[in-house]
Amino acid sequence: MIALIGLTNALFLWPFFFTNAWLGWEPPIELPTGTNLTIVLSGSVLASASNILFMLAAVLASPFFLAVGQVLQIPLSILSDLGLHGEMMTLVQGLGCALIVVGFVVQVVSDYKSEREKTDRID
Amino acid sequence: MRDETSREPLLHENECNEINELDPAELKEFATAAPLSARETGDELPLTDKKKCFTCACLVGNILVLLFQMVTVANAELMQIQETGTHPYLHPYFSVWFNHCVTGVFSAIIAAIWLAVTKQSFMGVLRENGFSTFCQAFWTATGFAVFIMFNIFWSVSLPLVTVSVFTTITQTTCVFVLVFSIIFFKHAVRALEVVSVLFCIGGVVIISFLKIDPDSSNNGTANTSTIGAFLSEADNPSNSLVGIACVVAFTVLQAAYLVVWGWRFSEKRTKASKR
Repeated sequence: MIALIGLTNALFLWPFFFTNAWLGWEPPIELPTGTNLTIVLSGSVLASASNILFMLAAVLASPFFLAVGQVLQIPLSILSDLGLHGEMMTLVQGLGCALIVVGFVVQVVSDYKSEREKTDRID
Repeated sequence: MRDETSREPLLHENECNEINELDPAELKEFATAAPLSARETGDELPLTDKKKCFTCACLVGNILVLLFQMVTVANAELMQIQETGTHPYLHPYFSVWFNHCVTGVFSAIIAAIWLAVTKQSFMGVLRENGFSTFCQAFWTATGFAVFIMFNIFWSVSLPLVTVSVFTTITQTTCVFVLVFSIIFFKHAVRALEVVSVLFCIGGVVIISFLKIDPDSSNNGTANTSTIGAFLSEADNPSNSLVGIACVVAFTVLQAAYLVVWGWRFSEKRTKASKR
């Protein structure tokens, strides 16, 4: 389905380059060159990974689980700061992270309970 | 011969109703695909295995979510470099369109490999996902392709706000996902889900509104880091109102897309696999 989305995107949405330029929302289309080309290509690879992971995670887990999981980005950033810059977190940051992690764990428990109820109903 | 008096019914009433609603072709498919083997022969997975499966799915989901987060942050940083660097390339629509095309190419390659490995047919997978014809799948994909252009707000907003403000606002996606699920799909809210959202938003609010003293033990290095970037953003002149409005639009549309995508594919998949 994601491949089909890419195909229909390529087929149907290119005319908007010209309408956007005509409306003045975006400069007339010019292909990136040099450094910009490298950045655009790297960005598109990352964006592809992001889009594919986004849609897979929404189906394999659940949209709500993914949305709650997004919040984990903050504790992850703090951990990366700790690892990369050697920065210790403050008490308030620690409290915030603890709340986020607890929220995520509560969501995991909620999902587990919901799944167990479903399997119990089948049994 | 099956003893009707001594055993549990093969199918529950609601399952019988579902089967009664099937047309002859679907009924034939059902009979071929699921010859009542599960309960009849006792081949169904034991509960412990089901729990293991759920734990695996949960783990895979967690890993995907974490990977998604890392890739998204890296991508946002790169997009900012692209649009605010020394030679900025300011074509947000083209960038998003190109990204989606590349996503399509990568997905097509992955799908082709997957189909070859699992020896499934393309139409078989479409049918499994609730599409009876290719055209139906094609037009549904077109709808999603238009919908996913909400990423244009992501592209437009990044040069107008800092990545930290962007990240902080997008953390509220879970609230919108919950609200949309309740309003449009009559999702029965569990108390634990509300508690989970409250905890997460509470954590985000605490971290977003705290300030670090530059003369602290970190010698001011905190403000150059990821967490330091979350701070004092209200006073940052690089955040414009239009940018913040775009981030909010992105967050709301992303939540709506998540709900619709999850509803369309998770539910259909469940129904198809039930059959």
